[in-house]
Amino acid sequence: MLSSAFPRLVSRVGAGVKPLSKARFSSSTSSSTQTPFLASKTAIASSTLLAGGSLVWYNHLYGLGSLLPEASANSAAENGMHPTKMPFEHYGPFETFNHASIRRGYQVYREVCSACHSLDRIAWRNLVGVSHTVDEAKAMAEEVEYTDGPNDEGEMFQRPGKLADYMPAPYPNEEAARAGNGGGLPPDLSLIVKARHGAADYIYSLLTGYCDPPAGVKLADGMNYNPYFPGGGIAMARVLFDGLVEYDDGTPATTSQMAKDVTVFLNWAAEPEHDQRKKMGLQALIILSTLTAISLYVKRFKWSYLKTRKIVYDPPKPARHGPL
Amino acid sequence: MAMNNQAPAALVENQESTSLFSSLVSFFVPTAHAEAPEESEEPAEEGGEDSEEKDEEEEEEEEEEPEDPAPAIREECEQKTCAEHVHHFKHCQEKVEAGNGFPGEDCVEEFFHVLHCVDQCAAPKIFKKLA
Repeated sequence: MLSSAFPRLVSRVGAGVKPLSKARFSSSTSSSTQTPFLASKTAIASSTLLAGGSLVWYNHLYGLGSLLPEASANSAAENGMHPTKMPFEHYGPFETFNHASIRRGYQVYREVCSACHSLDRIAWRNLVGVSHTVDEAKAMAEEVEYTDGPNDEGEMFQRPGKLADYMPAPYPNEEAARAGNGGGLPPDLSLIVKARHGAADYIYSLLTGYCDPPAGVKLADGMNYNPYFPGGGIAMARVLFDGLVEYDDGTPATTSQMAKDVTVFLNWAAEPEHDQRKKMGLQALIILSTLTAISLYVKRFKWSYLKTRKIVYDPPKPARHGPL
Repeated sequence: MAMNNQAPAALVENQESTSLFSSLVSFFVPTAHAEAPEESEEPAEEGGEDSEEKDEEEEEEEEEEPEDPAPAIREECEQKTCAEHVHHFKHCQEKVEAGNGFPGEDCVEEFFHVLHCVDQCAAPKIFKKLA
């Protein structure tokens, strides 16, 4: 049957090897009147059976749903409202954080957010020179009790906090946090600005964006509507209201003000190197521009000899006619 | 510390507001008094009230004092810059609330268009007023 499908191939092979070619030759003569196997009804029927059977078997093993890519309709509501770019002071290429805002933002975090949200990666020492003085930071740390130890008798003991301690968490573990918040886990806020699409704009928009749901939106029990939150239903309720905290520096504590301050604070928490980074950027700019200027000058200097030389063609005088 | 510093200011405002309130009331409810004794009584009463409820009122006043600039600015944006989007949103709201939309229809997309427009319009104006 191979010879009937590829007669030329078989005849060529057969030319080299005598006994085989004879056998093949005889078989091909016998089947020369039949149709080739690949064109036969048997082939068609069996390949169809194979295709159908593999499909059935696959369905039995994995289900047909996994064969197709998962259907997903990402509506605007499911993506959440894209936050508008807010004119934060630190957004320029050479702008630093507004540190008065960081200080106020810390106050908002401490008095409002820290009831549910941890700030694991920020230690008291991080605040020193950023928003608070050493003495202020020490005093704030000492107000919190930390478990330390073991001591000489092998027991853990409580001691007042020191600068090296990290911010205390409101809940001992994730399960406790979920249990305390109707199943929703308040995320740790240390890197939340980096962790969310839209960064600081998103945080500000989310905090100020609570509103009544538009018609037709159904919220699950205990959920609040926030258009900036993907899906719209957020477990956290609106927390910032006018006059919720009282700022030391006398800034009126409006909702927008508190949202801005705490956003700047969280942005600092996520990017504590921010100011230094931009300073280094300017330093790099100074060095690179200076080196560029020097290299351009040196190039001109070195090339001045070549560029200012004059090439004069002094043709030989024409030979005189006649004998030398 | 902060409370002590701000206490006198709050007191002054407190008095101002009560006098403003009383003048407002007297504007709507004109009362004729036989001058001297009545007037001398009223301030005394007010003073007494103040001293009694001083602490509570101070706290209340100070907490309610700051007014967010955002809602007014956003309202203005909705009415002026984003009137078209608001129109479409309201149309959708009416349609869906009346039950004339297709099953499962919501006005999220229309709402987002309004929000997008209002945010763009209001963000710089609000941030100008923030410290």
